[in-house]
Amino acid sequence: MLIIDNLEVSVDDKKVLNGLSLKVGANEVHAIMGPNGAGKSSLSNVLAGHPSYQILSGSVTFKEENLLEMEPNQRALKGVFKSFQYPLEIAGLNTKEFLKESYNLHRKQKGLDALSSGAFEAVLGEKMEMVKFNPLLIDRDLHSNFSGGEKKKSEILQMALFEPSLAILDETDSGLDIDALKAVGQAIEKLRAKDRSIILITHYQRLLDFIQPDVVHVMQNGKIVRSGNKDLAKILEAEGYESSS
Amino acid sequence: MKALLNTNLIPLGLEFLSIEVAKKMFPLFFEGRESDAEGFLFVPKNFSSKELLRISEPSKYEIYLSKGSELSWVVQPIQEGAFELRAYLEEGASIKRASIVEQKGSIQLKTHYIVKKSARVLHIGWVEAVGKTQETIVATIEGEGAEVDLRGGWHLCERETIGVNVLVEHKSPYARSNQLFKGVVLESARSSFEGSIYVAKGAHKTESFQKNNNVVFDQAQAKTSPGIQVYHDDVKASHGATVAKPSKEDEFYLLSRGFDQQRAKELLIESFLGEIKGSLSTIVGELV
Repeated sequence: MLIIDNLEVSVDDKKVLNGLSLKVGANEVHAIMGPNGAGKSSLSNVLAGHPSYQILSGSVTFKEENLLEMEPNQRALKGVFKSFQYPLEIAGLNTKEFLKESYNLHRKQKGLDALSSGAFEAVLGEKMEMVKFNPLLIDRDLHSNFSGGEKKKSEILQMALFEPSLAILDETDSGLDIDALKAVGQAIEKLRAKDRSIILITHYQRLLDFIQPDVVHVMQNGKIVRSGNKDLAKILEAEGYESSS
Repeated sequence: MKALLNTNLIPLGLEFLSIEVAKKMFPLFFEGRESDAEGFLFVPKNFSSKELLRISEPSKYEIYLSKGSELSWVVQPIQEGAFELRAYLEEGASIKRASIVEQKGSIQLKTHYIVKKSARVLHIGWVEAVGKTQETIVATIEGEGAEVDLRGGWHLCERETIGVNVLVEHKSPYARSNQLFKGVVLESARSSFEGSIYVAKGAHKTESFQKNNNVVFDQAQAKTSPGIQVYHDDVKASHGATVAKPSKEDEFYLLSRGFDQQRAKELLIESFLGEIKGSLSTIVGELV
């Protein structure tokens, strides 16, 4: 699904990825953990095509195509979904209208006709139920006056709608209380599917109580320094990241 | 008087008068001042109509809204020129005034409200014009409990220009005013906003707020100059202004959801101006 080979990236003249390599197979869930400043969020931005990042060397292959040559919107439509650590509030942009237009762009990419408002509402209702998204928020402006947990659920709702091949979830657990964490974790677990890979970026092991990763990686100084099975997360929780240095 | 209105659109119960006739019928109203208006509209006590009065040709009117009356006034130029209105609102009267400028050429909009006790003004302007627009709004609040809400939005490109001047004078206590003006300029367009709040001595418990936000694309320019003068304590008043480039992070968020760059830009502009356009539709409904 995804092959990152020896990737070096800078932003504002600062190197943030330093020879990172990673392979994620179809139907796999990889957790990437690491301390602040390790480059975890930079990795998610680079994969989604954030224009501030400069690729210095290396390659990223997604479904046998060069991901780095694609515009950010092309990546999204080809199945790369990034959930934001801090989902942006866009006042004046109606959540439902935004979701409908974006959803229909994804359908068009798959060669399907756009859904009418009624048909879309049916799909949306089903997905909202699946991720336990509060339906009272759907007519508000995008993320405006949403709580932290509601914003994260909105991101997971989008993942449920767009059905990506690769979901990169950037610190989806940050800022959540235990109930919100459980709800978001369970929603992500429901979205595990055949032909869908997930990269979970997180500081803490607690999200992994709800989602069992196939592989856990430790990232430090812009590269993967250690990989293991799900038990590695528990070791890191007990010993900290310094033991991986 | 020039035939400026489609008489079919004048709400039942109202009649436009020439200024000469109006001076004879309402001498006290014109006492001590000159009027160069071309027409006069008297709105009777407690008059109310859901119909909109639509002005489409350059004109200069005075309106007297009697106690408790309500009127909706919509300006939609179909040719360039000056559109002037002086509205006098008696106790408890209410006016909703909207303008939609999409006409090419030079358009001047001048509006002056004199607002008495518990009267209400809702003024919304929208400009998406091919040319040069100048808008001047003055609200003089002379009664307790009056409320004045002034809003405007513009979306300009090429070499289009707009200048907006607003003055709200609080001369009585316990009144409220709000100004919200938002603009988007692209390419080589230019905008200028000058806003003033004046709170006179004796106008205690006034609440007056002013905000002007601008988003600037390409080589366009936006100037903003908010101002405030307060001559009494026990007043809540504030002003704020921003001029900013479009947010790259907002754009990236939309790109990451599959929108191309052009559509992302359109969505950001629409959402930024949506607050103004949405409130415009509360007056003119289906026209927007």
